[in-house]
Amino acid sequence: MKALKVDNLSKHFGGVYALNNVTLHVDEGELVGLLGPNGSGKTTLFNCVAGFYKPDGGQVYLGEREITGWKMERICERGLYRTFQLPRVFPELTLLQNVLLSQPHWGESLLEVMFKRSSHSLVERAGELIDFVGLSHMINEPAGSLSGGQQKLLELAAALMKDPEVILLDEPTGGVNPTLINDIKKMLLDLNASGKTFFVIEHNMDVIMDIGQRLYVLDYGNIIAEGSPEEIRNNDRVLEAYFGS
Amino acid sequence: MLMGKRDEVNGRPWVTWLLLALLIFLLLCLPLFIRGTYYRHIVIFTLMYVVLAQAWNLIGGYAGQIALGNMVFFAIGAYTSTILTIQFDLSPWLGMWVGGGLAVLVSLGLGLAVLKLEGHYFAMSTIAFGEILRTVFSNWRFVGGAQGISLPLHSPSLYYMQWANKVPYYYIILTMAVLVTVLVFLLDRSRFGFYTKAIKLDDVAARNRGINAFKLKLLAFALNAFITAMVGSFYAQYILYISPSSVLLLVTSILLAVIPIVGGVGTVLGPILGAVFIFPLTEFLRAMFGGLAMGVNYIMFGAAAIFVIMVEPLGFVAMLSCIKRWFRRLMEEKGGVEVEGAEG
Repeated sequence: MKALKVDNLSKHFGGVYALNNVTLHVDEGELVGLLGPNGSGKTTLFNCVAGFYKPDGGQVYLGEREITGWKMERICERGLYRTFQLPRVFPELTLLQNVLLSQPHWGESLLEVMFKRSSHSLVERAGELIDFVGLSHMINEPAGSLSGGQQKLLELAAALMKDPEVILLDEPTGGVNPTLINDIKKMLLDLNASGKTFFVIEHNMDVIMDIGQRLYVLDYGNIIAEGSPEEIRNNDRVLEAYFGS
Repeated sequence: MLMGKRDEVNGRPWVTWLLLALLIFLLLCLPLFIRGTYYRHIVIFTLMYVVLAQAWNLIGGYAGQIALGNMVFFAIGAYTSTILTIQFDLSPWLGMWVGGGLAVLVSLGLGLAVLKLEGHYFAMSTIAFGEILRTVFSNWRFVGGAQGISLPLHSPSLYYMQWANKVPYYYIILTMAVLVTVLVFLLDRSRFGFYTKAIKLDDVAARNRGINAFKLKLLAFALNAFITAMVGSFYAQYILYISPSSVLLLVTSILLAVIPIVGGVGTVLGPILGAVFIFPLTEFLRAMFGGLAMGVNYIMFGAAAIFVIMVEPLGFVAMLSCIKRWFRRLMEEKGGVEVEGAEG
């Protein structure tokens, strides 16, 4: 069963093709990596899938449902959550509020928003998730007091709060210290083992080769390789894209 | 929602409630102490600006959209209740709700068109809308044109909301100020509070969480319009004369933004502190220096506002919490000395 399917997706900026007929899929319960040199179109792909950009051609399916060109808030509510390369937490809000922002908004009436607080069970769940990413000691601190790596963890907690069908992570270990990288790796593996589906952009080869079950490699907007980490490691086109030759 | 924070704030809840009760009691008794008509007028206007600043705070402070055309809604309220009274003999008590409803409709229409604009562009478009409306009203015979409308005088009557002295007006505007402040307090404490703060900090990231940012901005804009229009109706009944040059002034629209900014945006207390500081100040400057030369009082007012923002960009509320922290530290130090003394 495919959780996410991308069919012939294209996006160009002026004459430059950032994505050129990209076709790929992520199965339910899989952890799939997306590799590629800088400027190869990885983040553009995420942006097109999550509704930040309107693709110029092709389709995106979340499960059976086509979501091409939907607004990002609608896509998010329907079960696809993406995080950012540079964490975009809300510095003046507390950690708890940051995570609670991801509570379900589908069918949330305006009167509820105006006069009710988040339900007790949601607050509890947010607390558990903050605990899961190891930040419970700062739960009522403003998110601006977190380090860059901790902000990545907070974004992960916020993503889990939504309990989405697919989570798109844009460089979850970028700019994070080695100890924390190991923690994040372990968390992702644990979550994946418990059935969560991930699609991950990652520059750190050691990380993605360790945790990815299947990898795609993007270069100049084209998928140039697909396969297990072992296959990708020995793929000539990938080596060429990365090292020239 | 925030257990830890609430406990911290209400460490001694009875002190807060006692102070609040005392304040309300003092406000209720205020007409006993302030007897001069002029001073009563200043108090009434200050309270009026409290309500208007609270309304602006919803769209400008919480949702972060710098609206500079709020007098549009004020005018809609003022003109609607006035015209309904004159033409249909409808009580302003009902007319103000009609005006509020009309302002909500206009704000939704305007919001749908311009709330998608970002930052300055939104501000510019609200200014433009206000100026367009002022030109239209100045030339529209039905609403009295540039000369405006005088309300027909009645003998003191509850039905027409007209009294010979200022005390009833004081209690009406005081009630409005208390109700609107309670409303903003409730909004601040509910999801609205941190959803809108998130939208203000990073619109896209908030939408990425599934929050319908546009809908919430529209909501804030409509609430702002409704409250502002209600105050507009009150103003018309209190002054008994309205014209485009009194209720559609760009300067006043800007003042409505400056008050909460100086007081502290996105807080419940900010607009109150701002209004209590700024309105009497503008009035004082006008009385003292207004005759000196054209606009001297405005220049001095502008300098004072800039000074406050330079000292503390987050306004009086931030200054207050700074003083509170300093005071608490002082108390702790004193407490520490006593403990040491006891040990010795």
